[in-house]
Amino acid sequence: MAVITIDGIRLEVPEHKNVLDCALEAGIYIPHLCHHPNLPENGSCRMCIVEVEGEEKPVTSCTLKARDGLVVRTKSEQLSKLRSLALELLLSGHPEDCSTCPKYGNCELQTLIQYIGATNSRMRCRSKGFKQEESNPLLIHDMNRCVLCGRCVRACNDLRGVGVLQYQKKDLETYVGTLHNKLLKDADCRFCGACAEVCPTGTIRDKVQLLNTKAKKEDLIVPCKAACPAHTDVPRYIRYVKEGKYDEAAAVIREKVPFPKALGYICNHVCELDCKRKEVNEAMSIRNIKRYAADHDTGACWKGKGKQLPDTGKKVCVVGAGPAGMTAAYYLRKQGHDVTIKEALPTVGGMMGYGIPAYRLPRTIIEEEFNIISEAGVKLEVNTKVEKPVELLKEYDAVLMAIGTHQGVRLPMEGNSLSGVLINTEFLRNASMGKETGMGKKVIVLGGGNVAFDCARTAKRLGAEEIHLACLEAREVMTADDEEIEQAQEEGIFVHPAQTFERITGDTAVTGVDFMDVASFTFDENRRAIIEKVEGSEHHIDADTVIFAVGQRSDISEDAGLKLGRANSIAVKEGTLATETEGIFAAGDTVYGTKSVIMAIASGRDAASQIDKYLGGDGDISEVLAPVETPDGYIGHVEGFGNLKRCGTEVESAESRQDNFDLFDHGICDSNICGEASRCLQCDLRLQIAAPRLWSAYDNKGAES
Amino acid sequence: MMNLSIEEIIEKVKAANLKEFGVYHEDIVDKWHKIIASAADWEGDMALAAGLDNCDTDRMLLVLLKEDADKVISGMLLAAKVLGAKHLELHVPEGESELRASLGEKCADQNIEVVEGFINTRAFRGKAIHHIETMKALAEIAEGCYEPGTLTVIKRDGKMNTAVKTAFGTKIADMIGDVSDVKGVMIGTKLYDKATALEVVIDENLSVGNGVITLISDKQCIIAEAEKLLLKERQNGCGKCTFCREGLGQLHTMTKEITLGQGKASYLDMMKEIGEAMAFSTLCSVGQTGAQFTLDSMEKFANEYTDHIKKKKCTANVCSAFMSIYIDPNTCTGCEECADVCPVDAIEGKSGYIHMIDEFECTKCGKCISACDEEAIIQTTGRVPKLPTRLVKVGKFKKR
Repeated sequence: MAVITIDGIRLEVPEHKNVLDCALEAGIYIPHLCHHPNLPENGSCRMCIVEVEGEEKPVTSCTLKARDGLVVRTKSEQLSKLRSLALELLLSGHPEDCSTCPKYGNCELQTLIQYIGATNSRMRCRSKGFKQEESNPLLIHDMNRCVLCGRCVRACNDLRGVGVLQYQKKDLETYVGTLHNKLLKDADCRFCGACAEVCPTGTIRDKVQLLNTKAKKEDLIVPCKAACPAHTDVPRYIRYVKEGKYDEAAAVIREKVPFPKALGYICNHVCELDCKRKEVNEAMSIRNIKRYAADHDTGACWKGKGKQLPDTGKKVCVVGAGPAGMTAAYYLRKQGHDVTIKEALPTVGGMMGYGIPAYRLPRTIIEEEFNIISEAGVKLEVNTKVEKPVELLKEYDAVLMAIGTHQGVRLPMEGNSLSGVLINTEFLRNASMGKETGMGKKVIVLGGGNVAFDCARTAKRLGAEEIHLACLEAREVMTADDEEIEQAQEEGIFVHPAQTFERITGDTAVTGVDFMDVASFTFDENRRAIIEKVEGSEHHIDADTVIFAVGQRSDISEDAGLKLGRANSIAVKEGTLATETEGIFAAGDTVYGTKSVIMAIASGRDAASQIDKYLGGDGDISEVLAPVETPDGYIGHVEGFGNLKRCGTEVESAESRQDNFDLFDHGICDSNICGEASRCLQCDLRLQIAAPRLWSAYDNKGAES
Repeated sequence: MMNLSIEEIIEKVKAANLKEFGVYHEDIVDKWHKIIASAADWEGDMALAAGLDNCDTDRMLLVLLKEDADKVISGMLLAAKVLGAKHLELHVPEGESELRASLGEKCADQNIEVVEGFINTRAFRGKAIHHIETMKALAEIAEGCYEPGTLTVIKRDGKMNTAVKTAFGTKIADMIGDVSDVKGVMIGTKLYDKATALEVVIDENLSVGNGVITLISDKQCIIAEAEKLLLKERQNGCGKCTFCREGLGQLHTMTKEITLGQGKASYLDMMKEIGEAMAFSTLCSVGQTGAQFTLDSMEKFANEYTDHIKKKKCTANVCSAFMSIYIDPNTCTGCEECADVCPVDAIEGKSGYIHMIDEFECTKCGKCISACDEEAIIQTTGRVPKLPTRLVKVGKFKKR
């Protein structure tokens, strides 16, 4: 340690530490611009100059090292003049009008202008005349605003090891750019965003609006994590997968969800829609990376970790063993409550076991993942349908209704109850249970979502000879995944978008459906559908079976004694999952309508937290299962990084898959998984970079004389 | 000579009173002590870089690497031994890739990296940077064949003579010959007026910078010279330091405006303020010495600055902004030669008529002056006589 004196204040600091950081950490503000705590010193901006006792000329405090007996002054007339001159020089080549700059109000240079009070009026000013570069993904470069502090260059080279940004010279102007002014992608930029993070001015900016929005900066910087309803730490587990640490990766996923495997197979992966890599070329294959991690998890990392609070003596009944119910039960048990799940069907899983066909999600996975929940001490009663939930309160301290939406919708149209008309949920449930479905040889599925395709492809596997799928929406706006539609067509299913369902024909049994073509399908301001048909486009498709796949709702009525909301949902108080009946909560599809497994898990977690609080706990269900590590920010240079293609999965051919319920998508293979994980931009690394330290945050502002 | 102990090397260097060559004129043993004392403040092993000063655009001293590379390398190894340097770099200036290649093999044997371009002073904080001339001298001291002196060259009218080894104790007056039209002398980066320069003695106490002794004649405008030098320095600089990049920019813009007759009296204070700050506010010799000539010229040739700014005249008759070019109506024969060569069509006239120059279009390039066989086109800083305002036949123009 060394004792130094700054402006008469004695400080004990580590020897060789730079005096600027010593001062800032002790609450003494020294203006600075090119200095950044995460970067090596440049010593070029001359804002942080100080006077050292025994030395004639001022020196930069960022490069001045602490030694015993060092005496430093941060304020004097000479220092003020020199700082002012330095700033005037910087401003001579900087646009004069701050108000048109996107960084206005968040610019470090602007705060220095306020602090030092300099203008460019004594200088011969110039416009640098660079064109704003907007053709790169994610980032904008406006070199006219650059003051050449060199932070971005150091971030790209020293902090990240990527080496894309360098000082360049055009005639007499120095600027920051790539060699030969290549586009960032062609220069092998890794789009980590460190350059934009450290830029003190509006020179290198994110295309996404980070400033002056209500959204949290962290969510905008790591959008995949923000998009996931359960906020799974996507970049963190992808990094572990890249390193071959699948146990650690699975532990990261398990910190937020109890069904990593099931999600790896069937998650609707909204994270991928927001993945920043998609701006560079193609989004990361996040779900398949998750699947690989979960499939290769030995449990060595997370088993035995996590919390199990002592028993509270409180009893909770969870009605429904779908993803929402099982999730809530699992975390409530970990909070120390005695939890029983009552399930109407013979096994757990809910829609994962009775809706999603086995060729997408093998049933053994549901069983395997429930076993972990069961091992945690959650009790299960199957074949137990709860008709009067209110009565459960006699035995239990709290009840959670997680009953899903197991009742399919039958459209009010001519012929809708003829023999041969089936309903999505019943059809899929019967198929899952190996029961007779009542399906004939020629099937028409009405509906265009993923469930409609589940019905059509299940019908194919059950032996239907001819299958048609028709929906109101045009092909581009069908809600089913493109992959699902394409695979169905490969299996010989005829897809008819933009159709109105005029009537189901037949006297007692179905003989087919009359359709008309849709010219336009829009919604008015009240969200009411407006459909224009093509005149004279009436046509008929023969069939002996019609399956409605046009939505589903909860199998519950007013008789249950709970207040119901729109479309037979269970009503909850705004901003909570509590029903109007004290002690009864609701979660999952039954609250917000048919969504996704990951939404149900997120809702189950919410419910667990709220019920825990209701029962006197703190509601904190968070767990630390994976190692807490700071990832290495030195990501290095990778040739052709921006053009690395998204990796596909191994899929069985249509011939070999269409007559059985075996899993047909085998995920990403061993030899490709590291490559796919390596494509990640690691947007989260940027969160490690320190925020600027502005004078307004200091008490000891050292007002300039 | 590599068998010499560290103590023996230091002893010999002390005895020879060796100072750093180039612009960083400093006692070598003192310098080594300072480097070793500050090393602990910075990360990384001790390193040594040798090269020309970054500010040296004449590159005369590069001859040392072309002809005496072995000595320079030996000197580096000796200095590295004293300092305990693990990493050694030998720099050649940008554009000297052939020289770099030819040095490469020699240096690889000694584990010295040959680098093309500036010595990066940021990477050499707490580490050693030496001039190659110092390294050569060090090797000679160790061998016992050092003759105190330095390599110099005279530059007159922009042309360099042959470089010669000048023994310490030589007077400038004895080196430069005819000085009848000389008004100033630049030794390295420093500018002297003639009288002072002639008395200067080259010895171990004088920094001769890059060894180039530039004679400035009466026919040269001191401000135009400063402007040219500043432009060269701007082109040479790496642009990282604020005071070098922007300071040189301001000085260059202001001197340029002064030569164009657009200078303001306030520029002089501003230039002095910036130039003086540059000397200690930049990290290498480009910025540290970049304003030296300008500052010296403002002090020693102050009259030229005031002439340009206040009297709107160029003392040396160089700056064309202050000149007028006109066609003497009594000499012009109407031959049309001048109009043919004018690159901007600023000359009006036809065969047999007196030609006239449009002063707004004229760029004062002077092409017409040499094209006129009658010597009728006159360049002057004085008053322009009455001239015709419309086409007049040769011989018909009457002076009133």
